[in-house]
Amino acid sequence: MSDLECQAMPTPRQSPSAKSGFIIGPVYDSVFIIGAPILAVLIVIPLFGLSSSSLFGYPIKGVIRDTRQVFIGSFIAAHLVLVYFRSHANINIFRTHPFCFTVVPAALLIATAMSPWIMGIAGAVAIWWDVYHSSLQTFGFGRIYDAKQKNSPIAGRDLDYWMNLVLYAGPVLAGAHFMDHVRQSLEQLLFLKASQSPIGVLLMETTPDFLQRHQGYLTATVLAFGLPFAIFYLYSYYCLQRQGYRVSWQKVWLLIVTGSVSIYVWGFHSFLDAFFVMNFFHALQYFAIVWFTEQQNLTRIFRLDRFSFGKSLTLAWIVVFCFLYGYWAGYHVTGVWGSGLAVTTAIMHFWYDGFIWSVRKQQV
Amino acid sequence: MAGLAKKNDENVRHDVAGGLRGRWLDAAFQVCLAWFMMALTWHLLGPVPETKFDYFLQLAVLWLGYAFSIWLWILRSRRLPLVCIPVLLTVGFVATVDSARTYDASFQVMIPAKVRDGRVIHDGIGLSYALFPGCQVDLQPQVKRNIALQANGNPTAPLRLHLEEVARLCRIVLAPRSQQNDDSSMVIQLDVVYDRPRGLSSFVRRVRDFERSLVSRPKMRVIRSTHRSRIAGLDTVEFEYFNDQQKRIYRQVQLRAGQFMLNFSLHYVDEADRPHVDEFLNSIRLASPKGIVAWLVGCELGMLR
Repeated sequence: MSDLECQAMPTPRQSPSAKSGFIIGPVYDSVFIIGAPILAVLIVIPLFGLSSSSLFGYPIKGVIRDTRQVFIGSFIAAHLVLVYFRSHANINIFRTHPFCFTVVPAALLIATAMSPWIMGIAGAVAIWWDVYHSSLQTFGFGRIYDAKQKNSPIAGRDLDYWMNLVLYAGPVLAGAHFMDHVRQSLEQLLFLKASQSPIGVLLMETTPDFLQRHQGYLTATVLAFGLPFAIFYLYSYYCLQRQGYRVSWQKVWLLIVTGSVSIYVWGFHSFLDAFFVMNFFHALQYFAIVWFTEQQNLTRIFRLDRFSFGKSLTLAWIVVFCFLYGYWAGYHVTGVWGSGLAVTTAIMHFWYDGFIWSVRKQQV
Repeated sequence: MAGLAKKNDENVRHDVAGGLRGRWLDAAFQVCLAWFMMALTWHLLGPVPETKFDYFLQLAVLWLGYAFSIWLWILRSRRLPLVCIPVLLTVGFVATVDSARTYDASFQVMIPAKVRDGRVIHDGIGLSYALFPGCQVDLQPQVKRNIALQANGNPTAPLRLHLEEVARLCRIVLAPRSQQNDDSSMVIQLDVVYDRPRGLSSFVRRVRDFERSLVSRPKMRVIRSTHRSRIAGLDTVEFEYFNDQQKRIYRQVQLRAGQFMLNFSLHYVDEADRPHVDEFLNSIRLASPKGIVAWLVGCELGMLR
């Protein structure tokens, strides 16, 4: 949900919360959007930090798995497939880019299944696109909150864009887990090294060594840019406020909470904990916004609009379906076609979210 | 948003069959969807059935739930033409056949190999290789059960390889060159691991991790780290290390066969045995045709693809 561009001032859905500045409502927003990072910390960190892993071992298909990891991992992968309920199930969205919604995913699926090169490149790209995409989800929510205050859609847009990159991607680039990200993405191309290809050696040996040696410079660059930029950001908004800009306290809290959690987990926790926290709240926010915007359409799609319990059952179907997909993609998938489908879904999620949430086109 | 909802009303048909009939069809769709979701949950998370009949029954229940859901859903849709029904059913059927084939393969890999015309033939895998004259050979499969199955497994069930289990399928011992030194024999062992690699990089990663786990032990030294090779026309990944304690050279050659990884472990003392190792590896052959027929029919025509 990277591109919630606020070209049209009032959001089309005039919910009771519109005047209050919330997207959906005070409680819903506080729990599922603004407070989602804190919720993720409160759930994930104690779950993995305070309890013994042996308590959560349970045999699935004859293999003992850590059910905490299975649950969180499935939830994270589940939100990826949720994008199709917006892009393909909503006919109005689908009609805006039919080529992107049909030919491109089919071509990518075939390409990833047929070529280990494309599979590897797509897998590596997905890891970094995920970081960028997650940064811009917070940016998108912030812009909607600004629109709720009837601010100009251009006011502070670039500032917000860079601030969200600093808050979300900054700790990844500057933190201890930067090399984990690098290694994880390059592992997708491991077959190149095994083939003794010069590109494989360059990617798998020379590049990580170079990045590791010079990571200090990267950290310094991020800090040298990030800290003055934060001051410049605050000063710019102070100036904007004097020119009539109305501060959205929801956006302020969203940035404070997201930034604090990002720095806290990437800086002070293990890679796995940080990855789970950041992706957990990202997925939770995504489920919240998709359900809010698509519930009526999805209730019709699931043929439940004639039933009094229709919305609840629709939500149940979606959650169950997405979780099953998440488990399949995270723990069950095998073979080139299955893996190709999982990678294609991830890439499509990151890509589609850049253009299926345009407020300017009254899409949200 | 109001405009959006109105457009959706126009485009998502829910009144192809109006009134009471439409409501009943919608209710039937919910029942079939619940059936499908439960069957899918059972299939993904439940215990793997121990017999083929139980597994195929599970797949049949899943496919029927899927088929009825698809049929009822498209029947009531204005957007999707009816031709989508056979297309989606075919996609589901192919996925079901693939799952059945994989399950069947977990039995097939455990079929003991046979010796015929101086070659060891694994009918279940669709693989054969030469046997050296005068060697000792043990073709009785031996499984190292995983922990969960040691506790809960059914000992009377047919022999099947479970997820993350390793089975030794063949062990060949070539007589030592010198009668004085029994330790100088060359040993070839074929193990199969049910490991489900996702793709080529994932397969290479597992071989590399295997290499790391072996050479992290004391007195182990890598001679050649994990690399791709091509043996007898097959894509393989291999590495070589030296065990200082046993004074033996180990060559680990791995092939991917569907969801299984085949590991040829060849170890010897004398460098002069190296040509024998190469000769053995070059004798590996696929015993059955590949292609779409093999893919659909499955293990009877060989698993390697």
